[in-house]
Amino acid sequence: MLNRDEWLPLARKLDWDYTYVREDEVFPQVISGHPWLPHSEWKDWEESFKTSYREYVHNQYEKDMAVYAVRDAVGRLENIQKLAAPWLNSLKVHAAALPLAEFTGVIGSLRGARFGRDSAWRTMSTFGALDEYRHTQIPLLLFHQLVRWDSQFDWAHKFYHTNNWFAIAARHFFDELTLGQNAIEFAIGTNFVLETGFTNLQFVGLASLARESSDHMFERMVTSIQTDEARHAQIGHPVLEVLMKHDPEYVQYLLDKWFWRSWRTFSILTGVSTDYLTALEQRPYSFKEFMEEWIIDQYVRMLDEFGLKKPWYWNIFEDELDIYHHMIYASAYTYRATLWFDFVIPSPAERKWLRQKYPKYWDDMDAVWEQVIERWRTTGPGAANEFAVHGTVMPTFCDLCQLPLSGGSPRKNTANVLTRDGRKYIFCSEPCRWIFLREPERYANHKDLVKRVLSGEAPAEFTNLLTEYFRLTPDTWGKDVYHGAYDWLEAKKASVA
Amino acid sequence: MAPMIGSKPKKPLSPSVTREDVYMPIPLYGFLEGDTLGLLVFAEEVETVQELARKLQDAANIRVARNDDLELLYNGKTVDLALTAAQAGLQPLDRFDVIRRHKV
Repeated sequence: MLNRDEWLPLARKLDWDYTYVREDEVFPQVISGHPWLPHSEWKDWEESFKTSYREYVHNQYEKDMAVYAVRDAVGRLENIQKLAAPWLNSLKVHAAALPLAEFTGVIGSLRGARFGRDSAWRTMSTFGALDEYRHTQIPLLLFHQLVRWDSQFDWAHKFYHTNNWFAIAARHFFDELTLGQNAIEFAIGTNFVLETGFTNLQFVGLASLARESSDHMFERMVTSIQTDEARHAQIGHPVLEVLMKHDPEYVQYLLDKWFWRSWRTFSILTGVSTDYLTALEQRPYSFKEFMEEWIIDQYVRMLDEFGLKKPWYWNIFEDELDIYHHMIYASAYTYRATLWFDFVIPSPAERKWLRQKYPKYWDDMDAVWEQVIERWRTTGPGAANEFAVHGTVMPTFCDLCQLPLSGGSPRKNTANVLTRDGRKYIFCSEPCRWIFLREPERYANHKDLVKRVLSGEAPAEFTNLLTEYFRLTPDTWGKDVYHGAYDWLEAKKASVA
Repeated sequence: MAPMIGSKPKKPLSPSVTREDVYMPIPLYGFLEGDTLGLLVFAEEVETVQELARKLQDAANIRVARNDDLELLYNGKTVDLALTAAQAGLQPLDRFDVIRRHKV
């Protein structure tokens, strides 16, 4: 009988020469990706995990049982109800953004499982698809029990099926990255940039935040997901190695494009959770510190390893570490009814911490929060006053990332207008404009929310926009967690009086 | 609460309304210094640039304190506050900025 090391290569390397069809008919460039190369260029494709199907099933079973055990022990409704209110809203953000995005990863991985250029790649992609299906089902299962208690958790399933502005942005990202992508760009954009560069480590960081917040259910869930990500993310590395021999400029473009697009999504989800929705005493680090320690060093090392350059916009990216998620959070707070989770105003102690962690721009951000607080002080707290402390004019969105035009800083917003073929586009930043101009035929016909409203495709009236287009209800649309009733705000009001 | 932007008319226009009577507000991307995002602001052709600046300031007031000493920038240049939107040449979906007036 063959031992494992002898039969595993036989079971994973299953390529053969085609006799009745051409290789480029089996693997058309349009779906296998650029550059099209004969299999002889891919035959040495290899990754380090080398898992058999039997081992895969065994390991995944063990991991699922561990998740169920933690759910039964500490993941019941009564456990979740004890969590701090701001953290619960971080859960709601991830509950919505994660599961169906992972499902798009199933589709992208299956494309690699069929159109990846080597059989070992295809084997690994098959496991990757099964992983992503697991990452869809686990959060849907765990969050479903919470819907009867808090209907905002219903957005775990609902989010991507709505035209909520953040769902439009998330779909724009995942439709291109995963659902509609060829096997090579999927391997570079998803496996290498998003997973190896961001989410693999993001899940480590998120698990740490969840542990500090005593949310052991979420900690276990993301840890379990992270172990899968660490494995199937390895697909990107060997694909990149082959591409570097044939078209390094294309590799540089794909990395620069997907790093920026991933950063935009990542900074909102993780930046807001880390610096605003985790209680101050439970924050192990600031978002910027997390990025510098976990993401940037590793990414730059990976670039060096392949002889690639930092993206041309690296200075812009580094500047955004200090400000972008703060711009987004303050904007979103003042348009909270357009989202499916609740918000908090940073307390004086938190603002002091934010000033210490983000000295470059915090003066400008602090002025914004002071103005918001002044509005609550004037109206007084209470659910009835929510809309008196809320934006009333249509916010605006980038024609590439579809996120609010919150690039730059309060002193200088970096939005820029482009006229192309008689149409006007606006971008939040130079990198978004650059990505658009590299592949305009891919992006030009997508309408951002403003243009949908102006063309009559989306309702202009605010309540109709919330209910008919964003699919929110008075129960689910976002509010201030405390409806403005903060102890420190009351104390300040009394001292002013 | 106030609508986000003008709703479509529920009824058809009266036959007595001539084409000249129907104005088309100009949708613009407005950026107020101190704010965290851009806002969609509609300029009436006949309103002054100063009124437009104030409109943006009102729209952003939840985040940015009012300031009476303002200037409006369009295509990177300061625009005379007394001009109308039409005279200033504002075109749909253009960007304009409202900033605190620089002290000389």
